[in-house]
Amino acid sequence: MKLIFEYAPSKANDYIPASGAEGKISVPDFGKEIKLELPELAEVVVARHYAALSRMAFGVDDGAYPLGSCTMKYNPKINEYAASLEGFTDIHPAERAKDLGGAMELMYGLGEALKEITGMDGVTLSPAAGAHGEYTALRIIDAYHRSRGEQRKKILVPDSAHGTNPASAAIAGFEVVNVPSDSDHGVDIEALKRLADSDTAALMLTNPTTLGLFEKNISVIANIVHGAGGLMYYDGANLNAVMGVVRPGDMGFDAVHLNLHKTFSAPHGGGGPGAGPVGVKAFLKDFLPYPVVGRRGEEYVFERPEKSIGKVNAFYGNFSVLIRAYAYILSLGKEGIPLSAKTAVLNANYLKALISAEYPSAPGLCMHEFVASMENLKRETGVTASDIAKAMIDKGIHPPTIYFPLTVHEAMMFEPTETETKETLDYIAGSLKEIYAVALKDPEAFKKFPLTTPVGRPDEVAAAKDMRLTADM
Amino acid sequence: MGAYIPHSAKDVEEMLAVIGVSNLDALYADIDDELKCAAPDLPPGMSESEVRRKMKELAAKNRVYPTVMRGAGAYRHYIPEIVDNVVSRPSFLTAYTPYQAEMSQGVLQAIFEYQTYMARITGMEVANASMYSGATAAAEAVMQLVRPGGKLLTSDGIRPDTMEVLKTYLSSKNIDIVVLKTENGVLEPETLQNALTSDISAVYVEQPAYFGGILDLQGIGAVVKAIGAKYIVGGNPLAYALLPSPGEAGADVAVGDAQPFGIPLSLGGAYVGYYATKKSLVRKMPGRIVGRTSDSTGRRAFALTLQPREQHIKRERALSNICSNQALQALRVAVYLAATGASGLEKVARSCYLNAHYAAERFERAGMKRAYPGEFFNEFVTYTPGKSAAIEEALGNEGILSGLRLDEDRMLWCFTELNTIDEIERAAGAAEEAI
Repeated sequence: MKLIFEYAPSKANDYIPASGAEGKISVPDFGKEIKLELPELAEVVVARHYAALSRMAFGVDDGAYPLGSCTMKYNPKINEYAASLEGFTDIHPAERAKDLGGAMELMYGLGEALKEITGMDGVTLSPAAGAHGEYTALRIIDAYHRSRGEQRKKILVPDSAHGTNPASAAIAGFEVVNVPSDSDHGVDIEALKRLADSDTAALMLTNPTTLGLFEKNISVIANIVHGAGGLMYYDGANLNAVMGVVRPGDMGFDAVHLNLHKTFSAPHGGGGPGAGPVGVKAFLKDFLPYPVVGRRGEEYVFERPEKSIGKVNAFYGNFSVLIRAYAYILSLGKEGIPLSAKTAVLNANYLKALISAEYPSAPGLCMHEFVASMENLKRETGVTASDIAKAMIDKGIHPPTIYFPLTVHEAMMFEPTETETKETLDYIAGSLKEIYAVALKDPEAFKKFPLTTPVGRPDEVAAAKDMRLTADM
Repeated sequence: MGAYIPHSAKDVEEMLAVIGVSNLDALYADIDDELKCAAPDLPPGMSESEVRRKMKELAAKNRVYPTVMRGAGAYRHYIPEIVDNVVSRPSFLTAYTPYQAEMSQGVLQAIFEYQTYMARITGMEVANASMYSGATAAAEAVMQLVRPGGKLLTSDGIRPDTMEVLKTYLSSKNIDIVVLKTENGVLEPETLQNALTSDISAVYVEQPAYFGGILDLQGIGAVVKAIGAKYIVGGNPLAYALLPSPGEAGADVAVGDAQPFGIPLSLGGAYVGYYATKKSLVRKMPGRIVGRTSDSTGRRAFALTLQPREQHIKRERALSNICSNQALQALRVAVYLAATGASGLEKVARSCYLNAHYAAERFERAGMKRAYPGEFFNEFVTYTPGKSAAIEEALGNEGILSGLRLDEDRMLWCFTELNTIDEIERAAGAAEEAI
């Protein structure tokens, strides 16, 4: 496969006419010395290039994608239609509010729905991704403490948390204190009691946790943190398990971020754009970043909350992602939201039950995902979680998340989502059992997997050492 | 409606039997009943045809101006049809971040090519896979290059959005922002020279300035280098088709929004921030990076690389918290640049320049003088005392989104290759009457 820079030059298509001002105005020499070196290509070359690249990519439409923590559910096509409407794509962010009635109604409606689903009182749609939402919420929490004359420096983060949690806390200027897990993979309550103190700004928690288990002691945890004067922050990465069943606000959380590209079906696009709205309880509303969409009578208005932390992004965030999430919420509605969560949990438990003999995970029921440990298999055969992942590729299944959470050895984190059929789940389970049987019989075979892809395992050590990050001229 | 759930009642029954529970609610045995909520207070689910109608209604409530003369960070350009065609391919659209390299070579190579395009346009050696926006990219660059307690110097000529985002981010890092005042938004090397002290760790400028004026990037670069500070250049990358690039000016980091390259206005998002730097600073570059390598048989292969900088490995010691970025928008940029090529991009930039200068002359004859002298690219400010609102209204009646009202006297205009002579004549005529 050639790089776009390696084709023989051809003639690029003319996309625009010459300016009518040619001949009337002259363009001066600005002293640009290095000319642009971009290839000239006929459109057919470009079209075939990207068609070929897309055949070497794998999306939810291509097959099962049980990638834990990522909620790779089906991305409904009607949402793409909605996002492509000219009334959304061709509006300028600096148009007057009176020209943007539909967009503001949509953002307001989405905000209200997210508040209802999370049990929060205020919302910002500005953050562009989950980690951006985490950062935003932590700044709000910091501003809240400072408004009370306190500077609390510590953020408590369980050792099973997503890497973005401690990273966001550090970027937001906090010191990160790791909270160990207990033997049930929940927060170690005794350790939390020792760690939560007058310097604790907040605890960041994912519930269900990254182990796919509901944190049973959530009320106790909230009481400990609140008792120390800290706030409770909900990482919404796993909301898909519980939306419409239990609300973060009712569990004692004060602030929450959501991943619209996970829970609310916006496509992942090969790594974004996502959207990471943040919801807060009433006492934090004044600190939200601006602009927020408010309503006065029948009018929608852009507002700046009184003690706003400022702006966290240009304009209004990833509006095109918000459109898709809103269309999705309209489709699901009152009954569909809890039913989606319950079906996500059903699918995860079904897959877990089918493969538990070979792929052992925590006993009992799980939420929307579960984490298998391949430690025993590795000890007996040398076959690792990564090896199994590569073998799954040859079965046409995107592998689960591997080596996360860090608290489980040889972890494989399966999240089938609610949109997979029983037939697909049966196929995943059957494939995994076949792979397991091969591991016992012929562990050496795994060195060659995957066999069906355009390339084999890339040499990552050489990639980091050589640092070839752009194409040669 | 429970849309998109594929199971029949029989499927559910069989699955529950395998799990060994009697109904769906029993799956939530770990949650206290008193914590559980009633079904959310939302309308019932809609069928697809109803969703379509509702979304069309909402879209129709927004005003789409046939003619746009407003920019200020969001630019309407022609988008070749192939851009939408490529990004709507489901294998790109519905893929995750390319962690599994073997089955994601298409996404990885597309990002690698995007990195190359942005590096070449900015004149830098390397670029990352994308940032949320130019504003957050600028904030990340400063956080990478200025230690807590250090100082950033910039001017009042940068976009207000960037300034606000910088303030938010840098306040939590205890980095001070020194803001130089300028006449017209264009920071002069001499002004900088007089203000630059040894406690400044980095200088951030934007090319062109918010008011459209062109900076002497090279002159500024020389002043910044002389005191050993880091030089961060933000800006509209389309301008670099005509103007010296940040790399030519000795920048350490180039950031900005690549929205002008194939991304529609869409109310300001999703756009894509670019981040490009020198090879020597690559370990200080946040975000995902794709590198070229080979597989065991020597075939060329691509993979995410330098991951030990990132949050999923380093956690609180990571360079940045960024995880999801704007990958699909970066793909739009790559396809746009592949389709236009250097000649097409230069034609777009040249047309922007010509149309904007034609408009500035025509507006002057209509009584709308430029507020500030000096060379500009495709944006400029007019001065019509007390008349901004009237001009906006008059042009609006003609289906023209006027320049942005900065205040009652000044308006910030933007012209692109999409503005015709006829549109400019109509705008000038309408404005003349309004004045």
